[in-house]
Amino acid sequence: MSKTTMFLSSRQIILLILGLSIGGGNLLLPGRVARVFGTGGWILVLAAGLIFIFAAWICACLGRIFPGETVVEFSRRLLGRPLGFLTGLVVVLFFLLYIPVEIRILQELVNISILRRAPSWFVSSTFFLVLAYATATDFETLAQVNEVLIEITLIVGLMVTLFGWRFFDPSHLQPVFSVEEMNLAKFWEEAGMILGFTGYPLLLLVFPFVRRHRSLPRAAVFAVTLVVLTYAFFTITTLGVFGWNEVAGQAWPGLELAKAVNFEVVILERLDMILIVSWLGAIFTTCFLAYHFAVSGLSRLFNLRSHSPLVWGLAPVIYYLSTILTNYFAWNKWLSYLSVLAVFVGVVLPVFLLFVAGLRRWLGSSGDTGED
Amino acid sequence: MKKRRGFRQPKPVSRTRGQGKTGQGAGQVARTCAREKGMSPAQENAGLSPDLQENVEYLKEKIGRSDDVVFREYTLELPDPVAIVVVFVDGLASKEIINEYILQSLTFKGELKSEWTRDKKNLVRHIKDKVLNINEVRVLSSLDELITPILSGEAAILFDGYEEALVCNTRGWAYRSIDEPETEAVIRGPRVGFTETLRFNTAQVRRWIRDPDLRVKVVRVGRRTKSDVALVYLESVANPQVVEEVERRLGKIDIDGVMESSILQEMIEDRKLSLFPTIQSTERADRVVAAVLEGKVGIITDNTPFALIVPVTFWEFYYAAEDYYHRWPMAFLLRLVRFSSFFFSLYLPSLYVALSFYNPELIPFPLAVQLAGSREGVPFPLFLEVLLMELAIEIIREASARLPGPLGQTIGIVGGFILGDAAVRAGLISPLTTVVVALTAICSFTSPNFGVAISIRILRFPLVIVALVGGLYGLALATFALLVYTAGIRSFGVPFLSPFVPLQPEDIKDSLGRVPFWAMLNRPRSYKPLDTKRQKTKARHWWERLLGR
Repeated sequence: MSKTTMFLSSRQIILLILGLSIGGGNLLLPGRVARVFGTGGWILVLAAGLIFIFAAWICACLGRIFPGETVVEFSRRLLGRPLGFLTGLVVVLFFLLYIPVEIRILQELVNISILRRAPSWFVSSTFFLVLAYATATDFETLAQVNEVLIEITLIVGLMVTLFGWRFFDPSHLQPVFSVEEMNLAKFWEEAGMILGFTGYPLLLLVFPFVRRHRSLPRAAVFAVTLVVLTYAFFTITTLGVFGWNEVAGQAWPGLELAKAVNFEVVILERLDMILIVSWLGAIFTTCFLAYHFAVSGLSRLFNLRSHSPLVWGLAPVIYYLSTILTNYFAWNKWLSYLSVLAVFVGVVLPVFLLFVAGLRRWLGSSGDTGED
Repeated sequence: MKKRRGFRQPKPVSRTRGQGKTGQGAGQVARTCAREKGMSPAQENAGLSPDLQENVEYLKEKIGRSDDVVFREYTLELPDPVAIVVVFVDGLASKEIINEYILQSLTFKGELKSEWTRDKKNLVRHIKDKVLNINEVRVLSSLDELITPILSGEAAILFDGYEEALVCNTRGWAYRSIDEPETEAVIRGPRVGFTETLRFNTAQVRRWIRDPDLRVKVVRVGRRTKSDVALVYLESVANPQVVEEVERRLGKIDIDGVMESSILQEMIEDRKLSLFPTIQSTERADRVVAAVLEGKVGIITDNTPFALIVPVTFWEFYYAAEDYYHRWPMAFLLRLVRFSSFFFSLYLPSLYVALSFYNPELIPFPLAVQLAGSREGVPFPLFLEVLLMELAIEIIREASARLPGPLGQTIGIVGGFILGDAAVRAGLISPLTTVVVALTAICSFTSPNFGVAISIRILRFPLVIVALVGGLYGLALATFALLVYTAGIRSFGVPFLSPFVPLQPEDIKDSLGRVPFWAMLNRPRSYKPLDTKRQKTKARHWWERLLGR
């Protein structure tokens, strides 16, 4: 009776993109943009967002051209076997390398807030165990769990942000442009923020599961727009509450905001715990989605049948990678490199693939244009 | 003819032992359900021989070696006397029917003689059609086909010189009358529950739903018990895939006996090792009726008052029948109370441990002081205290459940009240722990379904240990794992956590709360019914009422 094939509705796709985008990095985001762009950080968020919205649209358009295929298959047809294989591998690698750093962020978040003095191996290994268990189940369940968790996270996050407006001071946002010139070295340090936007590359791997490819671009654009607007709102609030100077000095501006807006309720003394716990959920969704897409991409790449043995097979590798990133500098550097990969997978690759597809169709005669 | 015979004597009768008038009522109502199916064709079909003695020998060989099988020899007063044998099981067949409607009818029938002189060959048919005034009589010509009806309380009449036998419905055994189920009592609502007789139960459902689409399909399960299991559903509403799946799974069962519907429940569940029940069981006829109206399938098993309902979602275990009989504000409140107590019964002890172990800063200061003060002098660490108390509660609960009525209450008072008070006074446990554990126990009693309450109880212990090891973080992780686990469960293809996971906005109207009936236009979509409309006319929204439109 269990369905063998599942189809994703537009709503689920939007929530999948949100689930992969919103993760641990978001609590750091205001600090990053403040360091790079000062008071006008939220403009940076919007501007970067526009690029990614466009890229998401292109990604979704690929889905309209190649319904029923993932990037692993259609890149092979477009670029030939070796190059296509490589493309698939890069996409898989992007998802795969995303997980260790998210685990590290989670571990740090847990260690500074709800479970102090707990050994880091304990936090990361228990989380990883639950993560692998979750990923080993079927995609349908994952998509459904993602829905709940990300909705809760969004609601809690928005509530915290809205409460923050009690302390909002518009003068903190002036002057709008406070930075003389973009410091590229600094930007490189903070490049990890890009990963907050690049949840949409998962589209490249879900085309076969989409019911209506027509509405795919709209869903993708909507999802990324929602992400961008949420981030911008969050950044404006944080900057407005603390002022950019203070935000730039904070490691976890998101947490600071939650602590600042805190008001005592009868049962719990500190409300920021609710944000942290719900953010654990957000990190959890990011991780299991990344893990799932890495594994499903790999199994498509090598034509494997079931993916759950692969989940457990990859587990030691991912866990080992996460142990390398021992401190903030290590994982921040990892994030920077990963964001290069993200830009490649999320922006360069879709544009390039679309270009090649267009070129092939324009040349026409070969017949193998992917339109089937 | 048989279908028209209904539930004729609805007068409530208290427990009857023996073969009173009421026993006869049971016989009339409890018809042979498996008649349509007959015996399984796999069995050899020994035909009846014209020699009565041979037939009787055969039956005696098969079933006659038990002392409760009666072979009544008799002679028909005809010009050429015909020997007959009536075979029935003492206690299952109603003696009254056999005496009055079989033996007496056969004795004083003058026209039998004339008929016999006219057409000897058709004597058996003639007796069936014109002599026996019994509601159900069948003509059978195979010896083996006779055995199951005899063992289910029917009487077989064998005739010397004829290759046909008559099987008469004489079922009439001691049965329990319909009364209110103790486990699912309501303040407002029908006070009827199922009984152990299948036919009463299906008749109860029919009394509610007078729809030609109501199907009662009987399947026989159990190699030795040959229990009748009835699927009850509305053909134009229920999802045919679910019906088909239920039939398929029931058909796959190969077990010697079905004692109770719980055996079926365990055999046909989607996940055999699932921690949560994925099939609902109920004693209330109205619950089955409501479920059937929603497009679900009721499974009623003979010899047990507990019917099964499939498919089911997790939240439904927290719905009570009463939620639909009270006015909606009350029902809404009751649901909210029940679901919050579900949350407490699952998380309260572990949250208590996690907060006081790792994050005392989260507890408001006055409360924290109180907590620290109350724990002074307590010799056990907190988690041990909680675990021990939980264990004690479980033991008290089990002890009071096992002891007969009034004694059980005594155990509850001694265990809960005196022991708890003494333990606190002696300084063995802190008062706050007692409060937490007692509150948890009370919360867990609000669950209308026993099965899911047990699952939550089982989960509570690992959660306390997780909270001890990982604090709030551990609890969050455990919750994620639990979420993934439960979201993956299907009950006959329906996601276990729907309508929340996946989201079915329409169905949320009747979930954590219940909106008024006029607002529930559609049947729950989670079950994918064929006919989704519950109300054809569009009910007015509150804003329309407000605007007076």
